[in-house]
Amino acid sequence: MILAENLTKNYGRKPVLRGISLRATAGEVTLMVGPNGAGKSTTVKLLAGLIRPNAGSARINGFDIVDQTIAAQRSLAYLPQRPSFHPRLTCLEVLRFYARLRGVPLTRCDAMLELTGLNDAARTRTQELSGGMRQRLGIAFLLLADAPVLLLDEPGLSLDPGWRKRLQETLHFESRRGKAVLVTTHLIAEWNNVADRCLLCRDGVIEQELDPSDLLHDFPEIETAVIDDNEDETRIVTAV
Amino acid sequence: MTTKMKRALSLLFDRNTARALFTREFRLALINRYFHVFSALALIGGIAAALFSEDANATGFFHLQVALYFVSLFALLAGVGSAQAEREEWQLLFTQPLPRPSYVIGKFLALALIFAGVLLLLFLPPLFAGADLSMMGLLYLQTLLLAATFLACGLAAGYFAHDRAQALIVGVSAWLLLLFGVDLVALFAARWSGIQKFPDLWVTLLMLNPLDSFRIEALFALQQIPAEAANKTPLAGWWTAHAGAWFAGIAVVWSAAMMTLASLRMNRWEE
Amino acid sequence: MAAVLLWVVAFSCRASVSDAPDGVSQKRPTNAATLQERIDAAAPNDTIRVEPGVHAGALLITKPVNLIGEKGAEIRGNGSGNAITISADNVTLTGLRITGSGLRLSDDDAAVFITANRARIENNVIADSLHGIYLKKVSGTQILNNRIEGKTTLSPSAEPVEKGIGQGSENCDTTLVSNRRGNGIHQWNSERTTIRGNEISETRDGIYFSFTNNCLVEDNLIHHVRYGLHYMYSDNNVFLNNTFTENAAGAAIMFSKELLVRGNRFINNRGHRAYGLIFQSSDRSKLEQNEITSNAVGLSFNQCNDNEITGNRVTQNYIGLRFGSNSGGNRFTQNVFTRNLHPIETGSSDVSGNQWAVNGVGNFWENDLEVDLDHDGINDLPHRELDSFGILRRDFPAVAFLSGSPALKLLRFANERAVIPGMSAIEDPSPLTSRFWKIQAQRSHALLREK
Repeated sequence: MILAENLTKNYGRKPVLRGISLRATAGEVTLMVGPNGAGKSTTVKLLAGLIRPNAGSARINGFDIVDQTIAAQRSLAYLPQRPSFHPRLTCLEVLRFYARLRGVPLTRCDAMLELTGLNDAARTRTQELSGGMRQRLGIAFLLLADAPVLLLDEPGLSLDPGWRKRLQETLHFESRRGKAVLVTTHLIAEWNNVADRCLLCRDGVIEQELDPSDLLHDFPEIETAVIDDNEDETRIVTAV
Repeated sequence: MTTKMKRALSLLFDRNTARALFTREFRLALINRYFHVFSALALIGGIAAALFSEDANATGFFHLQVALYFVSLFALLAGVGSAQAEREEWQLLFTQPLPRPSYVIGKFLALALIFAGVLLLLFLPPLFAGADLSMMGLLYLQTLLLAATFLACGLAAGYFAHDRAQALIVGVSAWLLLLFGVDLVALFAARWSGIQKFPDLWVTLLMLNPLDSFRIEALFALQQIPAEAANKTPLAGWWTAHAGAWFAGIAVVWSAAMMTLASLRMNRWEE
Repeated sequence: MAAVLLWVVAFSCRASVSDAPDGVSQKRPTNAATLQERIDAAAPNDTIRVEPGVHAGALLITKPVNLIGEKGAEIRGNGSGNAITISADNVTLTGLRITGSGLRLSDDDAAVFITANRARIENNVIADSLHGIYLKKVSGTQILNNRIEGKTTLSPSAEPVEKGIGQGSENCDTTLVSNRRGNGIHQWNSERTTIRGNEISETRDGIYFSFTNNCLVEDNLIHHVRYGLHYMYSDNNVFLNNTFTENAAGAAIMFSKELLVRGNRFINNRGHRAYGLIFQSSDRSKLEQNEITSNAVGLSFNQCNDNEITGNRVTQNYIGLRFGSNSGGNRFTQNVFTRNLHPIETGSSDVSGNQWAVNGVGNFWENDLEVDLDHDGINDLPHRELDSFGILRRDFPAVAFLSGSPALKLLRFANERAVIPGMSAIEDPSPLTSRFWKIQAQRSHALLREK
């Protein structure tokens, strides 16, 4: 499970997180929604061990992400918004590298490629992949280690609706297998069906916890909101 | 050594981690066109030395020149390129359960091992033409140490810079400074009577430069001895008597310092 | 009966004559007589065969005889004075092993000490002695195909190479302690000596010349000595095709004039301050087609004037050509300077009085930018060879640690394009391109065909 308490983070003098506290438990998909600059991505990077907080603490599966970084990272898998791999390596080589790094049997790489529909691209260099295929390779990478905590930052932006749906189903399935899944997203309308919980993030704090099933009911305009449009996002959040 | 560094090193020698890093670097080297060019040039150089050198000493001297100008620069560029090529992937790499210093040092060791192989292409052919095994063996080890030093410099430049262009500018500038700059400064400083009063200080400047240390050691190995300088000061005498050990030491120190800097830099790196 | 006796005498005489070389008469040794007694008993120009085994010296030869050693014949001195002293003209020593001279440098003890003219010392092995062959005021000596090995149990001279230059005298430097080696061939005040095909090693100096003129030194191999050739106050001598290698200094030629030094090899003389060839205070000589390779200093000129230095290969030396003071009128042409760490050292000397090209033909310098629009093998741009250290060598010797530095190459490259102020250099107005010799060969070939 993921437990964050009062996380703060400044970039220079600019505060980005002002004391975020959240809990994402095993067996649930937790959504984190909010406008641009709210601190969603920073929170996930911080939980993944990519950056360090100025104050506060975070635990992944019980391990402190600052003091026990390696143990915490052993328990998590992180998919950034735009996953990037070594451009000269093939999909299979990329997965094998990470499999070796995490002590995962190499046969699992083939299974992941099959799961993400990249069998035919196994020997394609990642620099030759389309945006969607790269996202699918990211999903394969995410699931490769079978980590108990999954962190996803705006997943599926480049995926077509079919694959986005499959990703949601997969994450739902993984959460039901006992994993804690934390997703930051703009696509509330798509993810609310998957989410067990929804956290509204604004100005570097978790402002409110919402019930995902009530979102569309109370605010039907969300379904037609234009993705990645700041004004609409802000409007939705304001409405919420 | 901090606890984190110790842990990083223990993780580095974890079989899975080492295998992952080494396999990846070997694979990348195999498909890297710079390595292709380097390997081809090394082989051509080795064969040319075997075919056209007038004597063993000429072969050694040729290899000394190749190491000074060619191997050092290529090692530096390989380091810069390798560090920068993965820049976009750091956000994935650094969420793996692997301390960043382990990753940096593992990469360095893997690349050094690759260099050890590629340099054989340069040093083996002359042996078939009757070059002295012990001399060429010694030069090979020295050249490998020099390559490792500049590999570390290149990796450090690659990790510190914001992009490839900046890394190249920083790396090549450092190389030019070590290759030409230090000696030019030393040559003109030697004319100054204030420096002439402290020859050991002047000698120390050269001793700290890995390229100068390599040059002096290799010249001694090839018996192109700057005899005039050998025993003029206690430090000069010590250096000439222990040129090999000193070069090995300074190469290790430079490599370790560069790797430490790179590791610290990567530890502090935040996207 | 008388007829029979005459026939026996005649037969025995014919047999003796047929065994002797060149028809000279020969005395067979008798076991009773010592070699000295047999020499004393011999008639002038007799040939004495020296049987295998050790024959006691010291020998004094006062009449013209030929001593021919059979295989295994050794003449061993008594460890005092000379093993063999030749004081009569026209003596020949051949095929002998000669050992056991005294070891007193002040007395010039030698294995073979010659004070008479036209001696011929051939195919001998000389060892375990102070000097090998000592010539004192003699003429026409021939020293051919001998092997002279110094007494290795004596210390080699610890003298620095440059010390002792100019101490020409009859005797060796008596300031040296007696526990020192002597010279391989030592000549004083002699003339018309021929020294050919000898191998000399482990002596103090290989061949020593002092006040000795009109000699020919050819095809000798001299190694592991202090000076291969230690030469002074001697004129009009010719040195052809000798090899001086692994010595502290190949050759030191001083205070002499009108020499011809051609086709010799001065290689691997690499000791501390070692030289291939030192030329000091020597004038009007010709140095041609010598190979001067892998020495600490290849060729050193000091106070030398009007010499012609042509077609020599000066390669792989720490310093290729060192110029001392007051040398002028020397003409350098068709020499090759390659792979020297420092091709030229001029220090603070003014070398402007020397010519670096003769009749428009200069020398070959490594890494020149070759611009030869008329394809005559001569670069259209002059070459400036920089002495990067200059006076710093003297004032700040540690500067030599910059030897072989890429920075020096950069300076040399820059100086080619624009003179760097404050740095000494020589300028060859007509440097050769790498195609020069090929073009010359083609021209010669064409001339021959025309003829």
